[in-house]
Amino acid sequence: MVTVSTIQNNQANYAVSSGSLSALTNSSLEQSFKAQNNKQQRNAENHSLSYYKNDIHKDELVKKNTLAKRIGINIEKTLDIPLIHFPRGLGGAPDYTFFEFLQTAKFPYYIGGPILAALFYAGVKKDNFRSAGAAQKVAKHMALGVGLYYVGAALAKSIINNTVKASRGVDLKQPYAKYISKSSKKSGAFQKDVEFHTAFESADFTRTDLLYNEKGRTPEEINENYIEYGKKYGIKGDANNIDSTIKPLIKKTIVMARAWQYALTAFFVTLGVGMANQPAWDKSSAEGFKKTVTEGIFGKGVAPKDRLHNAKVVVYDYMLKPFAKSFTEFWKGHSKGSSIAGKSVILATAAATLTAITLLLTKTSAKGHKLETTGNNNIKEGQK
Amino acid sequence: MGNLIQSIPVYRPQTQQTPAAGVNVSAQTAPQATLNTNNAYKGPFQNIENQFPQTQTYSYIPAKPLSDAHNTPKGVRPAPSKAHLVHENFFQSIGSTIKSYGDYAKYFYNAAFKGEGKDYNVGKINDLSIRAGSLGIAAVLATSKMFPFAKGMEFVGLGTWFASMAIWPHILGAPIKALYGVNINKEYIDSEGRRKFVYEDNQYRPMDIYRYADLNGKPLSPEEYYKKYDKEYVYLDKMGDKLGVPRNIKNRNEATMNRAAQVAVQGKTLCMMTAGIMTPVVSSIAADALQTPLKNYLEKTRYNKAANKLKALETQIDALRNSNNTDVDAIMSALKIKVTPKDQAAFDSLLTESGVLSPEQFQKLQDFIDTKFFGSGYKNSLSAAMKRGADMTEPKVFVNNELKETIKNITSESVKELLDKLSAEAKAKLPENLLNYKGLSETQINEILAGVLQTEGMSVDQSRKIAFENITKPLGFNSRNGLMQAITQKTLEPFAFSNLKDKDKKTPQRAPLHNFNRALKDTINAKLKAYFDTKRSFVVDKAEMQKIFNFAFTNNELQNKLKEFEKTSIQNISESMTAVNWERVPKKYLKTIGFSEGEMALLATQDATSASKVLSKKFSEIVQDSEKYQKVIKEMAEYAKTAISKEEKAVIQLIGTPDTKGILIKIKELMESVADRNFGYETKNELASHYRLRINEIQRKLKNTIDSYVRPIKALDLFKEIKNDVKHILDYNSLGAVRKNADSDLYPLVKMNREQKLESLEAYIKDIILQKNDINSWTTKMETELPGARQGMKHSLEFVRSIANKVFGPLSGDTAAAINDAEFVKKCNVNNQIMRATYLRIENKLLSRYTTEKNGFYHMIRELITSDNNREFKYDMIRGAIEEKRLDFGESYYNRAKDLLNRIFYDYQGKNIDKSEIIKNELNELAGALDFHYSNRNIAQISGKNVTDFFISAAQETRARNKWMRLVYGLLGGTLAVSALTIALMGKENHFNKYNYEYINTPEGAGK
Repeated sequence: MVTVSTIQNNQANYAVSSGSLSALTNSSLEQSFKAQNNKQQRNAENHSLSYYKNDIHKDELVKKNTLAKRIGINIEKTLDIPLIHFPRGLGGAPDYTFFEFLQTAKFPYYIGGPILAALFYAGVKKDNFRSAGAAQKVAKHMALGVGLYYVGAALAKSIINNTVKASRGVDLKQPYAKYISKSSKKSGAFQKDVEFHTAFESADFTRTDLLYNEKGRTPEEINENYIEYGKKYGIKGDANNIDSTIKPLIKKTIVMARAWQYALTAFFVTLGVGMANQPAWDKSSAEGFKKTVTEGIFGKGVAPKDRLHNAKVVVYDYMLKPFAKSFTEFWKGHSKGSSIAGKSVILATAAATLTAITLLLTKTSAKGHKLETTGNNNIKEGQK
Repeated sequence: MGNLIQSIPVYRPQTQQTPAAGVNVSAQTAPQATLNTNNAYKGPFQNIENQFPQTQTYSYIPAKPLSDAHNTPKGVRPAPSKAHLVHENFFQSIGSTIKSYGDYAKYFYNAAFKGEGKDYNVGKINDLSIRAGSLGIAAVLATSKMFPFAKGMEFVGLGTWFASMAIWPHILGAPIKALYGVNINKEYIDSEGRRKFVYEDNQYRPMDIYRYADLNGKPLSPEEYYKKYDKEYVYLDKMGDKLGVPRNIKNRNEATMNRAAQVAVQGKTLCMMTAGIMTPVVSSIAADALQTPLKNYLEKTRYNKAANKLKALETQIDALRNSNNTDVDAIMSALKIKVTPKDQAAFDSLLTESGVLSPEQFQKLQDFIDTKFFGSGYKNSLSAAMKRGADMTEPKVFVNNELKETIKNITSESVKELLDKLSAEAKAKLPENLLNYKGLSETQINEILAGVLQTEGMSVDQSRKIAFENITKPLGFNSRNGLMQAITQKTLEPFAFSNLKDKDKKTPQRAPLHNFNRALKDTINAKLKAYFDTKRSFVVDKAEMQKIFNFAFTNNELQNKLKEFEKTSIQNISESMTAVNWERVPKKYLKTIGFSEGEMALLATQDATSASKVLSKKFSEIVQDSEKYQKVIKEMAEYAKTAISKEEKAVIQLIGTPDTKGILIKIKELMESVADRNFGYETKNELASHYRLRINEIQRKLKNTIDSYVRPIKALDLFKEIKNDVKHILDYNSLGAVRKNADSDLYPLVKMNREQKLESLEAYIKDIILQKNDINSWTTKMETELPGARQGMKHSLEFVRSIANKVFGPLSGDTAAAINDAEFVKKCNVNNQIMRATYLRIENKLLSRYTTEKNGFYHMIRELITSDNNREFKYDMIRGAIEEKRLDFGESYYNRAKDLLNRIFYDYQGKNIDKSEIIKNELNELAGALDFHYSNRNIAQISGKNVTDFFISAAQETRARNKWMRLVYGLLGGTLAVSALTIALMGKENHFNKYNYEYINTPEGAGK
């Protein structure tokens, strides 16, 4: 485990052996200026994904956590399931990791829902015009249900992610590239040298080590990320040991955030499926939607103005409008039972969301947290 | 510093000083080892060295510290592992699953509210959340469903989904365990009490947990373990044997663990690859299998519940009927019916304290009753009863602005209205001032009012003061009449009309005006009268109104209770008996008849004509094979019986049998008597007719069911004898003898030779039985020729009649024998007889010529009197017809009809009496009564689903199901086959796994 003391130690040793004490004797003003400078430089570092896949030799944070990168990572991870993890798993590779196992565990969820919907549709009386029509309607609601299920799950996650990021600066989605020793390739034909994880995926083994600035030369520089977190958590601690104060808080945040992500998912998917089951969606036909997209937006010989208009139609008339309407329909319900169900799901979702945000804002703050100060500076202890 | 280094205990090579017997440090855990207490401790490796003396060159003993330690090191040492395997049976594992959910909830509380927990705990929250979310989804979807079955299936689907998700790894795990001894689902509990899969993380291989596991993988305490075995890791040994790990290698346990890990990774990967397919597939199959029991259960419980309620209601009704109590309130309290507060409040708000209601208010009250009890069939009589119970007051008209305004409007509007009706020509003949008339002026009106007031004995000054200064003053009856006269007079005045003499009135110029004036007078009077009427009010007896309301409410409640029962039985609503029958029985018929895949496709996808051809072909095949015919008839009859008897049971509960009264009849009689006593015969009659409609509806429903299920049997029966029947019809009607020139257009048959005739008639009749229940649709051809039809008509009539006799005739002896249930055969025959008697309705143009059909049972009754043949059969048929007519007859005539029949059947039997008297009296009366053309029902109402439709929908259902089965079982079979193949290849050396073993006894060490 890398800690600030070991890095500092190494650097101090290096400085001594090379005979230069400049790093230690610089004024604090200069130090902070340099830190600022370094930080700007590092932020400018924007490697593409292929860098992380091919060029790293140790675990590295993926700098500039953009949506595009995350999508790229997710595509890569998803494709790896059938292309790499399955062949390796079926062969029983000795170096098969827990990560790979977890990745393959996603596969049933990807295909289970669609297959269930397909099985339902296979059992429909298609010879009979009327029942075929009715079944199509049900199938549409099912497909929509699957869709809104994922939307609900994504929404639940993003609410928590954004709350945590805004309030504590902790980006739960922050990916890092995990370098797997190349030697493992000996046992298999398939490359498995980089895995993309997220830095905060584990509360037990949080990769807080990756949050240090390894190129930093002073405690302020090395701990710059922790200082940032500290501001958000409400700690004005010593730059030298702020990391050890922050780490338990980060763990606490991760545990709480994950718990609420899972809990809110239950609420939001129920809400999503409930909304998908409303008649509001019947009016906008799937064919109309398809036609508007394929012919109206991507069709040949359509004026750009019309394309834009059609895109608006697709978003507004086929998505937002029925979405909003299905919400009110879900609230009102068509019978006593469904009205109670709709109202309670919506109210419970709102209440759970509010509770989650409130708890995350109050309980993870350093104000409610006992600060454990050792009194001693770690650096000095190391030099003893 | 140097001192410190020296004091760290290290092992240094030293020559062995004193060869000694083995000293075992783990004496407690290995009691089989000999313990030599005489020797000092010689180091941990001594024991091994003794076992392998040839390697005994060096031994390692701790370095001696330069200075003695002041105290023995107490520092950190690994805590002993508390991890152990989980060894549970099925029920234990369910128990621990339930318990674990409680733990997960605790984990959630700690994590979500305190931020405490580890990855393991947080991961378990996800499990909890997925299940909670799914339950929520099922609940939301269930509430959106209308019927308990659909609601239930949401949860069944959820349950089977999770069950198959849980079960599939075990299904895969079983053969893997049997083949390789590796249980991929094996769990252990780690030292911190967390439950985990042994092979969860391939790179973390907890070997220790196998140390004291017995041969079945059950963890034992060391003491117990050593009682049974003399060495550790027997379980791993066994596993290694199954995995084919050579016995004589070094570190065999580790090799076994590696091989087990390989199999586990392979098994788990296979599980993940197939779970996505198998979870929905197994879940669908399970849910599908659970559908039938769930439906049966729902049908049964719902019916029983409703039937029990009905029984309780019947007891109450019986008590009321016996007590002869017709007091509405008493009945309500006896039946525990209470007007809901909401309804009562709505009703109260319509009544005023004084009981005086304006016409609008009264109308509102009526409307309320109307809408509240809409469709109950007696709202009009209730309204009538309400009006009877209310007194109308004198109109209250006051001299005020409103009155003046109204008079002005009425006069101007009346003139305008009449003028609008006139043609321009007529208008031209009227005086100019009339055409531009604007109504009475204010002064005129005041004058009139003053005049009217004077007739009440008021002084001129006083009356003028009141009239002109707008002092409100009520007008009496005389004043109102006077007012009407005065207004008419005043309005007509300007047209200089009233002074004309009679003869002048009749002059041509004057005539239009004369007519106009008369009409105007009438109009104005009518309008004023209407206005005065609006000033009347109703004085209602509140108690009486409440009684009417209570009665209507009670009746409604009773109806609802009956409806609830109907919904579980005879109504075609999800989960009712009828619905369940319709879902299952036609498919069974289809299977019994045995259509091929191709025939089924034709039936399901083609139009009705093609479908009936398929049916026709199939039926013809069956009737040729006597054995198969008997089997098919027998089976279909069994299915029909179960389907019909269920509904019949419900109908008997509602309507009763010839001897007992059902609850619906009882309620009808009770409510009728209450209505009669309290509200008069109007209400009673209307109520009675409403109840009759309901009874009729219920009987019709049962007829439908019987006909639907019996018709395929009758169709087969007809097909069997069709060749003879056709010949019979042709010969009997001697169609060949019809004059060719006169009737050839009318009868296409005439032109044909005999063979052709037989063929086309056969096809015609087959088509009728398969497709056309309603004879109206097959007599149309004849009817179109009706106006000019002379000679041919007779033949047509006989022709149609003989076809009807075949199509709706009794089942043949063969068929009856095959069914082997006299009661059921009788039921079929009665039903057919009624159909035959009903086939030509009163509105059919041919009816006047069909004298015999008018008296559908005439011949049968006559034969019953005159002939000794087959009397029981005839009696049954006629008895059935009387039963059918019961509702039309009413109870008293129903009894008389039964009497008549019994007299004919029993009293005159074998007696030498004058039959002609009987024919004149009893026969004519009974036959006349049994005229079904005046029945409540027509054939379209009583006939059920036609045979072709019956099989078309059954084929569609079956095909959809077959397709589904093929897909589901195809996926299941395919996945199982792939899994089996994969499992067979597990645990072998492959690209990823090379087995290099160091053998103990073979110096070459050549690993395979």
